[in-house]
Amino acid sequence: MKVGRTYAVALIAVSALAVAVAARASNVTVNATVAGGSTLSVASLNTPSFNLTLNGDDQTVGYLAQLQVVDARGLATGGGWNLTLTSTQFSDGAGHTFPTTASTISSVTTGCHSGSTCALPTNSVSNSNLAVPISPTTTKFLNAATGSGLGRVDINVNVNVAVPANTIAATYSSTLTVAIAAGP
Amino acid sequence: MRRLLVLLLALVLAPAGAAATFTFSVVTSSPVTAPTATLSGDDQAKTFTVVTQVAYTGPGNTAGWKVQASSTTLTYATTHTLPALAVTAGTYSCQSGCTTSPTPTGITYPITLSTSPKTIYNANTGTGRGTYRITNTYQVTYPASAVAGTYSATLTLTGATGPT
Repeated sequence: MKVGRTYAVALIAVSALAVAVAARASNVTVNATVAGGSTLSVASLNTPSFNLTLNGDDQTVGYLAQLQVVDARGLATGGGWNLTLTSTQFSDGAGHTFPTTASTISSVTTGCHSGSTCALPTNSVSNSNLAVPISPTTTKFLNAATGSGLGRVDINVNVNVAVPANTIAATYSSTLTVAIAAGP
Repeated sequence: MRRLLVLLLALVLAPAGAAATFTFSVVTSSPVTAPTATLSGDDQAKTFTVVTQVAYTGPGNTAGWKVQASSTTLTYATTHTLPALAVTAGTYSCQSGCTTSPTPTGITYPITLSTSPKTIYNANTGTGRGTYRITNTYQVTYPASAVAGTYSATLTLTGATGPT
């Protein structure tokens, strides 16, 4: 009987040693809130230009219009956006112009701007070989389905310009106007 | 026989009484709220701190210790998530009985958390003797494409003897 008590005390002592090294765990709930901003905007990042030397034949040249869309609304539903485009006719200001059908979008590419883990736009607009209209006519050339196009998105618009062989040598200018609207 | 039993009791109890005592607790109250990020189009990072307490006292408290963390994913409305929490720093302050300041070993910040425990602060063998509060800095990354809402995660903190 006395020996039995000794064993009991020994077990208690071993147990006390074990508790001294046991891991203790606690749970903490972490909350982090993302507040939607109000920004839905488009901006131009460059002033494109090109040079052409007349050679007696009709020619096509291209330029790149770089745009940037910011969608900081954080909308999971009911979001998305679309871009529309219009232009003025190429003119030298002295009565000489390119045809109103001279400009055509050949392709549009998108990418996340540096420092922005964006959600690239899910586009449903056919934008290869898309005519660039003359103001006031506009055309939609890119959109983002709801839940896409979030963050800061760089957009490259490749535009081809058809220059007739009978063009008068001069400096011609055209203004592209891009607008953004909510919803795809 | 009774004398023999008393002697045995003394021998058995002596090691238990001499053992080091380790306790761990979280000082910061739950829930912890990270600073809010207002979307701007660019990625953002915000930090917050969580304080824990380690008390490693008693004779023989030379094994060192560690604080470990694991975390679930910050989630909103089941389907929207934020990148994993990261621990970017850890510091200590003495509360009482500090005889040997903790010397961390093998810790390199930032430490990206997952559901597997990772050591976010420790005291090498022979250090960290006393009662200390550990302040760890946590970072929440808000991607530009985050959906607006309040995201929640469960951060599990543990303490144990031994630096690794």
